[in-house]
Amino acid sequence: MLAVDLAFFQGEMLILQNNKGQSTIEFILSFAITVGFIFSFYKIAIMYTNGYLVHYATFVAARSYMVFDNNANDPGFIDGPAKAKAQAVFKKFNLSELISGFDGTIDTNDPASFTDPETALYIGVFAEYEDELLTPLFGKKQSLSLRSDAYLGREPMRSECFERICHAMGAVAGAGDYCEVHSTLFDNGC
Amino acid sequence: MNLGRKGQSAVEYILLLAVVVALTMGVFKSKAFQDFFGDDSAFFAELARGIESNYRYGLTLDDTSDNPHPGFYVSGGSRFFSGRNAYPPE
Repeated sequence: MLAVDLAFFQGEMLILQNNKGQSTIEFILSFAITVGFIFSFYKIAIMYTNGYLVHYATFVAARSYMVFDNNANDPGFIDGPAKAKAQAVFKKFNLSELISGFDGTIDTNDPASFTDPETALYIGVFAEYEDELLTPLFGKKQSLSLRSDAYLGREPMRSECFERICHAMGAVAGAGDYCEVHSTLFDNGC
Repeated sequence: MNLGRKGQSAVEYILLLAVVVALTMGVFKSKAFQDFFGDDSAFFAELARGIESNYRYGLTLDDTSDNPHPGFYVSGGSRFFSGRNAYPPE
């Protein structure tokens, strides 16, 4: 070691005549590739974890949307406040603080817009957000448009139950003494 | 004049390195490679579409235009049920 240092200070050309550094160089190269793989899988794992969290937040918001009732006389005036309630519940999860760069929004499929029996299955809440798929080995990012659906539906509101009972009683009363319309009043759980 | 061969390995190393770098850059910059692994490439776009589909439906689907939600509706039927008519009746 001393001989090499002396040669350096004497201004002579330093030529390595052995392969002592080979393992170090190989370690550095393999370490970089290994770290790249580790960070790739780490990012994918974080992406999946974020996805589960958004799924859960959407599901909880959908539960609030399903049962919300403000006792309004007209059922048509409840869906709007129910949507606001679902958005407030979703916001409580504070996802923008938990997920880096989170820009998700939440919206609803309300019963008034999905009256067909087939599309009525899609009444509920959905959230949309963007994420990125990192590929460090190739040095690029692939954007992802992710959507979380929670179609739990909407429970009948008190005003809807009231309309239903009025309809049944009206059918009985409207038949007069002839009782041409058969109608049964029962507690359907409203 | 120095006629020694001390610098030969260094010169060969530099030339070989230049060739390797040129070949590598040629491969990485080639259209075929960029189409497959580059920005907006088919490979990563397909991978992203698969992840998006799996996240939403739990299934990997190519096209959902004829079926808006295969997790709910399959072959004209559904494992979910709902009221046939609007509630309450008019």
